[in-house]
Amino acid sequence: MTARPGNGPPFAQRPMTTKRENSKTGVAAEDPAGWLDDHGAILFQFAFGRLKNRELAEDLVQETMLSAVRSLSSFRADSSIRTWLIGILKNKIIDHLRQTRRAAALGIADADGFEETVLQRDFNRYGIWNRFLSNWAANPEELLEHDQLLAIFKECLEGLPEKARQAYLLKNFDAQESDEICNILGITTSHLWVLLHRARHGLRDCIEKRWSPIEDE
Amino acid sequence: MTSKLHTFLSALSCEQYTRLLSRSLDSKLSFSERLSFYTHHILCVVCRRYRRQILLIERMAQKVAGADYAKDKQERAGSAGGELSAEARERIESELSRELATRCNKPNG
Ligand SMILES: [Zn+2]
Repeated sequence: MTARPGNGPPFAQRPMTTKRENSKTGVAAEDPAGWLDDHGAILFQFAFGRLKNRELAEDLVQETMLSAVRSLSSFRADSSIRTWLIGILKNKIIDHLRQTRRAAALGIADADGFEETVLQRDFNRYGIWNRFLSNWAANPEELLEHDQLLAIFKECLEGLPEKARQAYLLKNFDAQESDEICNILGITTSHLWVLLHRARHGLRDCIEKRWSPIEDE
Repeated sequence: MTSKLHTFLSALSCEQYTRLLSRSLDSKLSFSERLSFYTHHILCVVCRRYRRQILLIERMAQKVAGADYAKDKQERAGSAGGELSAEARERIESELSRELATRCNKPNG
């Protein structure tokens, strides 16, 4: 259960920079005075990774911590404080996407040119493969243990067209339902399918290019 | 490959196969969609490979998403975006302590 803030000195009397031991598992886990030191960098990098904007990411970290303080009583000790904070941050990011979806629909070029570069290059005018794919996914269990491959996956994810990337992250990282993603991004279901297809197709293409153990047969 | 082969593969092109494959990960395909998907699947070795790779990539996503939170601060240091700026830290610190000052003496819950 949650520690009661009433025990011990009021938070505000503690120096904010104090490093406490056991910050992840110890009794002081819910002490917000140490959040910035313990989780600030992770939260910032998470937000920056999603939104690619420093100031926005910093603002959302601030909002997250303030909301967390206000709803501290809803924190349950069965999750870590970091997971809880990231959960709040995720909602802030989704709210932001929802608010800016109209601007985003106008502003973010959604994969313009991708059709020509990746999709059309792979197929001829009859829609048949232009090339033979090498057989690199024969041992998925083995491949999933390759840190290098997972690192390549992350790089490739970064390189996707922005709207396709957001759709893919909401779907595969935030486990949002399709209806909800459409709502957040302000798009139709068929548009979502196109974006997710672009994301997956683009990821496959990018991984194949970068993963050196892949050899043509 | 030729257009004859395309006709042979019962009206579903490889490109359409890849679209259906992606959609099957997000929603349920209709019976006729599944039928033409499966027919193409049996006949086309390239698309079978494609499918295996796409499914592997889905699992990579699950794995990376699951590991996202567990990472330690040290591991993350130096990754894209870097750290909070000094100004932001200062601002958040003062906002946080102001918030705490108004909260900490209230009874819990
Ligand atoms: Zn095919």
